[in-house]
Amino acid sequence: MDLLERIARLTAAAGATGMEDAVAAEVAAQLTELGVEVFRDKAGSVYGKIGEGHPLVLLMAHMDEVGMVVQKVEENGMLRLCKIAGVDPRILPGSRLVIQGREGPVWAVAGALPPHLKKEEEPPAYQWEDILCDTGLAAEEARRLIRPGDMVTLAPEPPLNLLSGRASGKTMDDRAPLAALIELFARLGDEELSCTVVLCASVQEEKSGAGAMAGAHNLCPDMAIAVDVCHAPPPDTPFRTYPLEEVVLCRSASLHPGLFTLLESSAKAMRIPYQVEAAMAAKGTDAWDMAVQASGVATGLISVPLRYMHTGVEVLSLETLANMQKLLTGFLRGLKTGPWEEALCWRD
Amino acid sequence: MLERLKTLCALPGVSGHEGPVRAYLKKELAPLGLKTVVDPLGSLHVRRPGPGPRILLAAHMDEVGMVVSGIREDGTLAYSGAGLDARVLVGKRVRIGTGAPMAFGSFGTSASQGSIPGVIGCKAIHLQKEEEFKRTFPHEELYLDIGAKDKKEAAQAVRIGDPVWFDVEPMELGGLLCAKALDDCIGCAILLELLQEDYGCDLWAAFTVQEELGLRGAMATAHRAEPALALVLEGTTANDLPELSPPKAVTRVGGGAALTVMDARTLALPEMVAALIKTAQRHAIPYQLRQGTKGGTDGGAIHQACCGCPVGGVSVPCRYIHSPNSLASPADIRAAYELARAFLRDQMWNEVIRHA
Repeated sequence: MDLLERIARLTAAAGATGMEDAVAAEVAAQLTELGVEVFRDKAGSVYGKIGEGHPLVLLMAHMDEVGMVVQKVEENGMLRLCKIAGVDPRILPGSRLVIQGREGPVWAVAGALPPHLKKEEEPPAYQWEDILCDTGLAAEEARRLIRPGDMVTLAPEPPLNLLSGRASGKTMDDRAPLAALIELFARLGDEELSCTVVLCASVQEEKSGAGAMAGAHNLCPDMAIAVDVCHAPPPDTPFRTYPLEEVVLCRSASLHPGLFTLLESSAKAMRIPYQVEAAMAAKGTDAWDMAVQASGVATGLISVPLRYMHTGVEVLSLETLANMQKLLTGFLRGLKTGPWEEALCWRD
Repeated sequence: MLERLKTLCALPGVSGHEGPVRAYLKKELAPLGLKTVVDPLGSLHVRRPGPGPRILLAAHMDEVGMVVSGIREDGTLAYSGAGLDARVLVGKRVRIGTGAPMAFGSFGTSASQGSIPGVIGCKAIHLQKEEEFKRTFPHEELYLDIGAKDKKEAAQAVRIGDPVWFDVEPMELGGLLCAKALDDCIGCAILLELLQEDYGCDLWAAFTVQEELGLRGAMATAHRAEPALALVLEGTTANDLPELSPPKAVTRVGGGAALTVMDARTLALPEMVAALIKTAQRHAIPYQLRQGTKGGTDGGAIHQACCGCPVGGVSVPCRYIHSPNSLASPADIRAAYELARAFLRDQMWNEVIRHA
């Protein structure tokens, strides 16, 4: 299975924040195929482990996606939606959606009050109250199959191959990096490692960080690395963005400087193009929560730049994704002989 | 008819680039052995001569879409569109024609031949300022992303002027048909079906071009055909959403064939509306009156041509028309077909055409 196929399989599963079971099953299946021992914690995150001894390195990529739930079934059977996290209602009209109904998935189209009813210079932006979810079902049938609270996500479609080795699809955030981590496990295979590597597909990154908290708390790793996406620049957006072509390593007050140095050394040794992102407080990923669990965890953050985050057409570079996986592979192999404890000590 | 409709909807048919639709229609028409002509604008004309008056049946081949209007330094593409609301574009997949001739092996899944994929994104919500949330991204701020690193790479893959259409395969949704381009592949599919029979009139079928640009193909068509009466087969607006009561809803999906009384371009002859209603009632065909006064069809051009021509509009309600995913009811499609067929078989033109 190549990386794109792993991504395709992972993105085919619906998993809005707090409802990640279908993705968890797919992650478990892919890890089991590799002969990796799999377990799940009470929060719902899925883990796979290889290697023995210390350091214990936790690699975390989240499996939840921004999604919605059904809020109300209207008289005529159309549905009103409520977002769980980070969905922009303006991307919905004209898109296909999937509702996880009582008897299985129900496909639908997002509609909205048509534009031509009011003559205005610039039509107003769609708000949540303008959005309707249309299953095409008769009202009684819709009510029988669908209840308020049912999960709604953008409909899955296989990722698209674009030019320059770029790919586009839904939920690249964060299933593409998750796929790269599974691929990393496949590549390391039976290799003798002098460390323990735990892969965690975490839940609820988009909302509460509950998966990251539980994961770091339960495992008390020697080091933890959140593997996520960051913003690539669409045209006209110069700030807080990073070109698609390079892996991003984050330096921040909320992250461990020694771990950053180890990751950066690996990038340099393997000649992997990278760029450095700096943030006073590196919020918005699992790294933020993992660092403060248990007695404190040395935490790092590595990201793949992504365009159009939280839409159905998120774009990233497959080469950068593969480079990120190589960088981590080199990092883990380096731990075999490297003085990792020394590297994580504070030198004052 | 439904299978043909699905095939048609999967084909690219952006205004001015109706070639793939025209090629498919020609292929489907071939077994009938009727004479076909393609006029200088690209409309496809088919005749089934007969003793009665000349009756024109019209449906347009084009769908709303875009063309590549420029290649930017960063490899993204500027576009120019017609009939598209900018609010349905963000987050959608498109295909972009290379300008190479479309090859036709099999239909349906290989509509993408001679084209490359692209997406329409926008600045991630995390990067938008609060006031930006309240506004719509206008066309000028949107662009197509084909993954190209720079202008040079993009220029090798597309040419300025290449058509751009939504990348969506038709599917069934809760008993309805969900597809792009239902407006007016529905009309084309019905017209194909109507052409299978002889009605005793001088039947002239026209699959027109450039309707979405302002009924342009129909103008030349009417002049060429000089019909005594015309029926226009269309997909029309259905706003049957919870907050909209009947007049604003225009039509209702599942409510039967929609008859045009008036739109932005035409006011139907009372005799025409009466004849269509009478036909529907006689054959127990579900129908509704189209309750909107906006929008236009090829009828707007045809009724003004050749010293005036009575035009009837028989439409199928489509929700989310002009979006990548519009919805229509197979029962309504069937009703529109049955109504047009019964009108012709009963030679109802006799009740409409005014003889001087």
